[in-house]
Amino acid sequence: MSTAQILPGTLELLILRAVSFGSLHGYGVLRRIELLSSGAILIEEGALYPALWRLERQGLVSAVWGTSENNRKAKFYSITPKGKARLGEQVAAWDRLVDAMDLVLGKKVTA
Amino acid sequence: MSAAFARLAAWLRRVTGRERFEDAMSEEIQHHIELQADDLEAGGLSRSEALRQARLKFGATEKYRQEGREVSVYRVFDDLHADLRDAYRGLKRDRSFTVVAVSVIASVLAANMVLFAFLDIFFFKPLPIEGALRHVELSARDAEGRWASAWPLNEALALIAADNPVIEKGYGVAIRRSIVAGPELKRAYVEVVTPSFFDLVKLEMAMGRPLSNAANVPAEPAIMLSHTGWERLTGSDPDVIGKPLLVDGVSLTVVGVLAEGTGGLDPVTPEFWVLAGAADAPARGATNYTISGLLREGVSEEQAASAFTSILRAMGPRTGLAPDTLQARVEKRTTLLRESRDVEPLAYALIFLFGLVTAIAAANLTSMHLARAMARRHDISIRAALGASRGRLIRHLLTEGLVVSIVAGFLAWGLSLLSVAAVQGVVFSLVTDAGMSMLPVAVDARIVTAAFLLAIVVGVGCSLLPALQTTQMKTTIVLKRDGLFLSGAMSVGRLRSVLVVLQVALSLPLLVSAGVLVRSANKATQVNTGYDLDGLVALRAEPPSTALIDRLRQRPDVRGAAAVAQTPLAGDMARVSVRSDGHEAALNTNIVDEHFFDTIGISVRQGRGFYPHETTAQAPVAVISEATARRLWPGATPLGRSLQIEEGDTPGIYRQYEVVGVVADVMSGFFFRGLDASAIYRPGSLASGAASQILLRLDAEDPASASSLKSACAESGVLCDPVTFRKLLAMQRVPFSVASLIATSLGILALGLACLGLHGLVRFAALQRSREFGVRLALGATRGQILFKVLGESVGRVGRGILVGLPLSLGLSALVASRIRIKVFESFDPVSYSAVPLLLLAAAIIASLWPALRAAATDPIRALREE
Repeated sequence: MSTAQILPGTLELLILRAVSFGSLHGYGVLRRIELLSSGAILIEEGALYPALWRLERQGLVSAVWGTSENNRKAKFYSITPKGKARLGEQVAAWDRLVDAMDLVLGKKVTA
Repeated sequence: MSAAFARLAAWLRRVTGRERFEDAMSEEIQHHIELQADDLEAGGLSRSEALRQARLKFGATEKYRQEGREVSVYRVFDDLHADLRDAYRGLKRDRSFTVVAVSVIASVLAANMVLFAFLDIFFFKPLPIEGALRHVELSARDAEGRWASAWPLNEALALIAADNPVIEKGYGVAIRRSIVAGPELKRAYVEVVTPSFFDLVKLEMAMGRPLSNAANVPAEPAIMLSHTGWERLTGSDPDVIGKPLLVDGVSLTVVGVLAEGTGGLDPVTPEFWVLAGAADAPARGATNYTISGLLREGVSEEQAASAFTSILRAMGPRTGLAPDTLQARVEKRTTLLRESRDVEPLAYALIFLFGLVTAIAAANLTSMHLARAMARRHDISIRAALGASRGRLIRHLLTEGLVVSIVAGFLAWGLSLLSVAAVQGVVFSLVTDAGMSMLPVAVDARIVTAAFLLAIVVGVGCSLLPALQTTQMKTTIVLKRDGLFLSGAMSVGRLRSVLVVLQVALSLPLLVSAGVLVRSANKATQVNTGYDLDGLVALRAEPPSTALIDRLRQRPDVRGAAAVAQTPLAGDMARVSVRSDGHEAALNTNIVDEHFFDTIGISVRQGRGFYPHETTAQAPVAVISEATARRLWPGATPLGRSLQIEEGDTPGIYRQYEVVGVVADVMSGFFFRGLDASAIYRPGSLASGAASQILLRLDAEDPASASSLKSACAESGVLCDPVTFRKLLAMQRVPFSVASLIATSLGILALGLACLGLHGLVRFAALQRSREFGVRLALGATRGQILFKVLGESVGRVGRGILVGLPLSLGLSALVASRIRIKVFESFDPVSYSAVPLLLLAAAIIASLWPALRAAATDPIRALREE
């Protein structure tokens, strides 16, 4: 599968989706997104962290310091109830966008 | 210095958690890179190569750390730090703007701080007692218009008895002017107080103890000195406790000295206190006591008045009022100034004037910020193009205003500390000669805090409009020659012109009021008293005696000597009820001996003066002034007519007098009342005890005469203190002198600010229009024409300001005229109203001359080349 650059504004959605499965450190979030997209979505690695910190500041994810699998000190991120609600909203918005694009591109016909 | 700042910055980073935050970001990023390197190493790369590639994959670390800072709580501090740094650099670059802006704010702020320091202590600060908000004073009046606010000691003690149902901690105070003997004789301002005074007023002692507050009568023959009294009367003697002080010829023991800055409950601090009922003078001479105390909890002023009405009525005629119609009044006095309700309008008037000056300064500052915004328009547009939001740009511009305000605040603080001392020295020096001292005025923490807040509001507020307009500009807009535009298409130049007009308009009433007050103060020095003041001396003698006055008459330098009850110009004459031909009126009266009219120089117009036997016997004859004659018997001769004059001590009891003479009208009371509206002179002498003040007419007003008079008194075993009539008149003029000093200072400040604003505007306009002037010169205009054009525009602006300011000034004059009726005070003074506009126009020309000359000296070739 060819890789795709993420659309602007979708990094937040991807991060929330990734941490919704369980708490992860930053590198883990990156790997999960790659896994979930089967390697199709490439994220600029450094750009992940300002997004994570922004989400933490907004209360959509929470973070605690712990020890990673390789015995290093790491910061683990988990989705909060507010984050879950935001994830739901953004997924719904994405679905609406996709439906609209499909209609425009002729991939879908209105009933 | 930079090392110190670096250490301070490091400490701040530690205490605010900033260091932990930065470390956490670094750790997280490092963790990511290492995990990435682990994966790459597992793929076969060496550790060093894996780390190198991991770092490359991660991207620009510092860029992401900076993005992290921007989403953190520290962004606010980072922005503020950046703004402060930029503001410092910008202000350092534009030194002239910085110096002028700081000076404008600091000068106005310092003036306000000094004003509020004075107002605070006299008008706003509560009395330094517990329960100050319940502090009240008693007065009473009857249906005939007689008024009493002080009572003899026995009545006073009865009124403040401990079982009084409506007030507690009641006390009585009487004021006395005593003569204290030392290396030289000095007059002292004394308070005689009831023992209960010290139940209410807690005094801080520097030495010794307070006067005993036991209710013992007769009280101990002792005095308690104020700090000023200790300095002035004892030369700051450190061993003064237990020493005697000769007061009015009687020895009193000093038992205590108050700490500096503490005093009684009046703005004038007495030099010492004596307990009422003390066996010896000065308490002996003090007859009437004002009554004050605290309202009991739950008691209103009306309830207290009703209770006191009953108590006073039960006392009968001893109160000096008709018992049947007597009504007591209980009024709150919560600040130092007595009758503060009457003088509060003065405080508000002063606040208004200072507010005008502050408004002028604000207009000036706004104009300067507008000019600065114009100069920075390219800088701001570049910042906007680089992504700065409008809010961020506004904050950046307001930070400059904030820095200017804070620097100005500190400068104003220093200026105010110096000014308060100087102003206090000038104002209070006028009363210290009379043996009075005022409580020290200080710029305290509350005033400083309020000043800094005002500085921030003015400094930031005045930079807000320019900030809003500067940031409204889009980078793609081609700017017109004169720069920014408001939504209503008013250019910056036009807006600055409006601000200058506003400054001139607000300066006009200030300058007019200064002119009015200066002229009033000047007129006050030229009042016609109706007699020659040269050589006239009032001699306060203790005790006054016939032998003394006879001895003084023998002196070759004494042309005349008289005895009188009330010294002219030392206060209003006594007003008593007078009946004549069925009419009744309250008229001024005085008791004088047979030498009075000759000594003062009052000519007898009809009839005669008094004979010696009449003054000795206090015969039932009277001499009246011409004004009194016109009032009582218009068009008819008053000689031989009868008057019934109420006896001062017994209301309702009238004594009949025959008019034997008519004298010229003179001024006996306050100068601003002019010549006496009425005057009835009754006979009395030192011997009869009715007249206790001695007046002398000396050959020359030579200071040596004053000391020789004191020596002559001492030879008679009498203490005396001479004061010239000119000095008495000068004392009356103190409020006018102070008011004219304040108004003139404010007027000069306002004029300076308006000129500064005008100068800046003309300079700005000349720069903006250099191309226009170049074209005009190229087309044949002369430099003189350019000069007159620029000056003419300045004069036009000031003219518009005068037109706007005149109605404001006239309105204020009308308001003042309705409140103040003083003969020498002419609110609509034509000279002031004519001179001030001319002064403003002249100032406009001077302020605009240099930039106008620069404009006229424009090089047309250079100007036309410039884009």
